[in-house]
Amino acid sequence: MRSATESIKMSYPEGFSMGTITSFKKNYKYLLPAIPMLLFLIIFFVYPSVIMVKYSFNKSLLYGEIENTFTFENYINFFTDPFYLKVVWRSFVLGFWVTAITIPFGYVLAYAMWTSKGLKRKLLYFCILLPLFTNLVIRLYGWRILLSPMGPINGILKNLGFTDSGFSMIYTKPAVVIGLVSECAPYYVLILFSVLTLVNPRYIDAAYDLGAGKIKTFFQIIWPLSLPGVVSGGMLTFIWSFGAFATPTILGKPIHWTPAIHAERQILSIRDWPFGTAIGMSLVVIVLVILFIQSRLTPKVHSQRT
Amino acid sequence: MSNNKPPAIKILRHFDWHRLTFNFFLTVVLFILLVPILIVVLSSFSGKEHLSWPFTDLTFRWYFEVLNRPLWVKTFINSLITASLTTVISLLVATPAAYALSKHKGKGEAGFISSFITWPIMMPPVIIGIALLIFLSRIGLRGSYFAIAIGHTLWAAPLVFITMVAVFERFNPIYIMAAKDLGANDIQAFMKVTIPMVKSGIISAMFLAFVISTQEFIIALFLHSPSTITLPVELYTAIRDELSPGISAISVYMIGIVAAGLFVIDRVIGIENIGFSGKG
Repeated sequence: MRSATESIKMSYPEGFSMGTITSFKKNYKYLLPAIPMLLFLIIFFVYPSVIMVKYSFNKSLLYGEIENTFTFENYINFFTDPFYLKVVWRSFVLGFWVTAITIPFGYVLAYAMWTSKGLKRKLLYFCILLPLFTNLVIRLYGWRILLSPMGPINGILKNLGFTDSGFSMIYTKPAVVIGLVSECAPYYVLILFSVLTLVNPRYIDAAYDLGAGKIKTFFQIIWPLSLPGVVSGGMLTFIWSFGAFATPTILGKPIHWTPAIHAERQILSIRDWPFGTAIGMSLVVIVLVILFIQSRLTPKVHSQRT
Repeated sequence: MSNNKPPAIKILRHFDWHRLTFNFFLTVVLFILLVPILIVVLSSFSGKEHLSWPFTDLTFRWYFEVLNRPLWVKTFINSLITASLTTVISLLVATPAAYALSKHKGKGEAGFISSFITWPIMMPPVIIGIALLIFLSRIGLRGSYFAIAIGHTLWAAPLVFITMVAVFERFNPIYIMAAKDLGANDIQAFMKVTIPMVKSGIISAMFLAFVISTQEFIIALFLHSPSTITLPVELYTAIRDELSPGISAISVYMIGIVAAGLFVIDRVIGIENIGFSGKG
């Protein structure tokens, strides 16, 4: 059995696949199995998004009733209200801090994964994937215990005699920033790691052979080659911090709320659906603009392996 | 990733201040990632009713006590029901799509469809929640298990898709040709040859979808009703006004599900092959 399949394998040239045969026929029949997935996305993703866009142009009346008209009122209200402009600006600043911290710290972890192997690499993988998959609420709950006035950090500081009453660390901006860093870092690390694995080790050898030191090799060879990962991972971090929902509500005060939280309040508490959807759509548009700018800035990822 | 060891490891060979700084950064980042989880686990053993440092009178009793609180048991069962539904729907829709598109990766329309399938992961979950809330309220599905499962599938199916594409790519089509030469039609070849050979990949994708659904709460926050409230949503409301070892014990049960899922995935296809990483 085995020898038979191996002999078949040998009789075809390298790189042969089923795809090369069917592609000559120019038919789209191969897409048939993808139809359920596409239908699902059209019904439950595209169509709801379209309805949402439509709602954002409607007008809300008293008691959550909605007048079916076409008006830009909700968007104008959002983008001219100094309160909401401040919300957007603060979220930008928040995203900036989170990204500025995640980039160097995440880089170290991705680098450690890249240079390790075997059990150590598996262990580092586990250290990233466990928080990544664990419910965000649970991780935020952990931060709440940690930062609370009666929590471990204050307890230890009290024992060491730094403070008597304890510092108030929760409900502050640094608390929100650190919570967001721990939320985004796993994704950033995985993206950066996948780019690092494409770096051709021979370039590094060459740098050493030519007499470059460790620091020089890093900044002149490894860092430029890993830049695509830093940019796309950093952008993802920025976008997620900007659109964050759970972390600012649990670790912050209303002053730290992001547009996403205001959208949720409008929809679930105030029941002004047209205005809530308009905030949501504004968030999506801002995110798309950032993504567009990123796609213009990002150097193309390509494998340097030969 | 390849088996070639990057020679960059040489950089770290010698003990010097570079290495010290590097290890300091590494410790800080691992601390930020892991300490919230560790502290939850530690606090669940605290004997006091309200959490305050130091955690003393260590006990296991919260683990048994929370099992007697009907609210938590109910929300846990709700989470299991939604997660099972999510797993079934994600696998049914994403696996055939991954099968079709993995064989035609280079083509223009296949590339476009693949990226379209992964769009929902780029969306802020709040937006998916709002959009589905409006749509499902219209057709009267809001608040059902099915509604939450649909929301979770939008998040899980793309990841199942990415994982399964990687699995199918490693699968050698020569075996299908052999089956067809022996008289099998497309469906028979798929059921009798492809499925058994990618079984381990499917098991991993199942765990992935299941774990994602048990942990997600923003979409569920929008779509739940009092009778279908899931555990993470209940936790979200509970932790705002209460820090108690009971809640920690429930959280540890949830962390256990994730750790067990990761362990199974690691045994079956290797932890580094999960959808997010390099190959996707």
